[in-house]
Amino acid sequence: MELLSNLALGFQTAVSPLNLLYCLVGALIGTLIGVLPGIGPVQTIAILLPTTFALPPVSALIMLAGIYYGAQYGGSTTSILVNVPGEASAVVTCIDGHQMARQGRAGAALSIAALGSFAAGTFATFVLAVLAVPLSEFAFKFGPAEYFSLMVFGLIGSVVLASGSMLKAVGMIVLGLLLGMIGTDVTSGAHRFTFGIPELADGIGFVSLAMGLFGICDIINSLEKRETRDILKGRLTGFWLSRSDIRASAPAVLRGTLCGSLLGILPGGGAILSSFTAYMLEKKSSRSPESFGQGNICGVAAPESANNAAAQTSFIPLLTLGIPPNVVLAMMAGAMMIHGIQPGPRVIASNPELFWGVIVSMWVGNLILVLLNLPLVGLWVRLLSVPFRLLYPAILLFCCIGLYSVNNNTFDIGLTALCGLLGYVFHKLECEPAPLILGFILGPMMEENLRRGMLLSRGDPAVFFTRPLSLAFLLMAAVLLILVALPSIRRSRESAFKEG
Amino acid sequence: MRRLCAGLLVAAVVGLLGSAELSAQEIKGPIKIVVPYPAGGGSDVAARLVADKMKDSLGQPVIVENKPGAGGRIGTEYAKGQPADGATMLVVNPALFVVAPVVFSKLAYDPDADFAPVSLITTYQFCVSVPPGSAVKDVPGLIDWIKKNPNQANYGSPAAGSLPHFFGLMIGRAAGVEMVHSSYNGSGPLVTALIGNQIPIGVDAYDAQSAYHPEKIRILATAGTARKRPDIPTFKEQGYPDIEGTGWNGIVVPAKTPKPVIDKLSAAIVTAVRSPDVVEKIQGLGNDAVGTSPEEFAAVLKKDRERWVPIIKASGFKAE
Repeated sequence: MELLSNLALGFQTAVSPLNLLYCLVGALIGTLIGVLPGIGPVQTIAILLPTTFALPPVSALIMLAGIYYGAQYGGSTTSILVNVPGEASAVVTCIDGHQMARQGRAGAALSIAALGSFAAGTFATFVLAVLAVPLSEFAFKFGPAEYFSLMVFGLIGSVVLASGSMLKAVGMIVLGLLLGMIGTDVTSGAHRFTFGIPELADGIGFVSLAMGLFGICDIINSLEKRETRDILKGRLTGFWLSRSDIRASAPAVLRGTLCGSLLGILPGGGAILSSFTAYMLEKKSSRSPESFGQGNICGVAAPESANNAAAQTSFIPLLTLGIPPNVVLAMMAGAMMIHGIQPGPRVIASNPELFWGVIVSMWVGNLILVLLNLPLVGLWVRLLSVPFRLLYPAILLFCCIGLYSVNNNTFDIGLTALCGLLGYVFHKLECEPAPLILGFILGPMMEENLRRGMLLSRGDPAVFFTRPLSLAFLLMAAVLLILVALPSIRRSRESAFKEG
Repeated sequence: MRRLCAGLLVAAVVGLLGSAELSAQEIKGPIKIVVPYPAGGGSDVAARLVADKMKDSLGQPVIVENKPGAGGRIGTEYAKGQPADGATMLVVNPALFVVAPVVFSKLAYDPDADFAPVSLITTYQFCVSVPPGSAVKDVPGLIDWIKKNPNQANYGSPAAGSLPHFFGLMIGRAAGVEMVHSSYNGSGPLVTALIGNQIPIGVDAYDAQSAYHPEKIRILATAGTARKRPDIPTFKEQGYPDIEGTGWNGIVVPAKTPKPVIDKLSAAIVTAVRSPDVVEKIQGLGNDAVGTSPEEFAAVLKKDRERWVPIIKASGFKAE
């Protein structure tokens, strides 16, 4: 009953005309920056932060939250239509989403991305309302040993699930791990491989790496091919999903939602990690893993649901414990502090209209997005259907603006250009960049936790085997490794990928 | 006639000098406060509050420019290269002006040669805290626990080479035990580890800890000369007068900025920081608002170097 009265309070706050307006504004801005490659929610919130000074705190937070989850919707659009992820969390959506577009099923891909996101958003809002407090406790069970073992499992999983040559996948992961070593070592504070360049002290920026390897590299490739990819003209019909599409993708949406909701709560998790994980899970559990990468609708449904769910559940640690689990939420924490509200458990008690208002506004915002976005896809598409000679320079320009606004530094732009060239080399060598990205994200976290675990146990590695959760992850990793090493399974895996 | 001419000339020269005197204080164009950290952080919020007030008192635009990267060193180097006309100010802290010169063999700026102090804006205390289930209730209990469990005496700080890192060494020294230091990737992960009972002792800025779950993290003591919160005693009150540490955010300008301009800026900052609504907002963040003269700021800087540099050097910490 208390939940009902809380939700009623939330509704009262969220549907007041002013807050509804800011919810709409946030969702629209979010979609727009999600569509435009290079400009993400972090930069946008950073840019808009000063303007929220003037707003009442609830409206400010509702708008900023709208930008965050709106970006998750919008990010998929460019991934599907031009194979340039609008958001880092939409990187995996490129793989199958763009293939679907090439097969003339762009409409279906966009529909499932939007509907999957909406389903996930609804579920995540519900999770947030009901389980916020008890769920946040779960994350604290993870010590350094658990984090390390989870990541070992994740990396081995990504090798097993990578398509194509396993040797190349391992190579790319290791390269990703090595690139992740650049920068300041968290444990000792020492600079590694920075060559005295202060910009490298924070490591290679994830945005630069992802944008270079996926966005810029793809532009170079398509210029080289002189191929007219007019996926954008005339083929954008068939938004309605066929019955077989729905049957195939409904469980994928469900799995993606659950996966995203769970990973969003974990500190360090969030939209990016969960979309990767959901994609891998989907591919692994599929009866036809070879169809992934060839335009399988599940490969769009799962990660898109997951990133939206995670975007919302990642508010749990912030709103219940005051701990921002990722960069975007750290910006939200900053926005709250500007208004003199300390993010934390006291928010629920001292600002109930803010807490419940923001939660309910997320559901309202998701509804607005699905109502607006499917009709507006035409508009976004027209935005992207200009000729390549105009489109590519414009995309590059937006990338540059976005990159520059991360740190107000031109270094990041040069770095992205370099990563683009690197991506081109990988393309020529037929090496997939996705495992590299995963190694790059997980590597530093894995190293940090391994060393912290060893440091705190005074050099005794038993800590990784004596803690049950950690042991479970390591055992699962071992099982995966054994499965792959078995000759019969290895042969069938390779043939499966060859067929595909 | 000649006398008249000479008189006029003298008058003209005096007049010119007079106007030069006036314009020496004038600052052209919009004034920017460079914050060498991302938007939304503690020093950024303080800078924005100050900028907003200065805009009114100086009658010209004052904007905040974020230049994050390399722990603030990129923004600091950037500000060093800006014209020394008062139109560029920079927010700095002990990490940039006390620690960095000791731990970096090649630093792109010299805090004393390249910058001149203008005013402090905020100060913050350090604190030591334990997880919710810990048996330790106060500082003597903590020192006792460290002595009895030297093999478990691990402490976490928000970053390697941060002041809390060295402050933790002070605590270990009081117990005569070399505690193992584990640095986290910022205050957020450290707080997570503390609440989850993954690390027995946490050392951090008070505002970073108080911002989180007060029922879940037990702050044993704050390290200032006076209590930060009525219910948390200081180290001094608990019998450890030598364990003291205060951090700060201050505003500096490029070294060649004329003294009258520095004084004008300093006065404007002091007025801004001391206005009641700014004081209240900064208090709300767990910090204290302070405005100082350039000389007082320089004295704080000198005192802090005397306090920290020997500890940093003794730790053997190097960033390269």
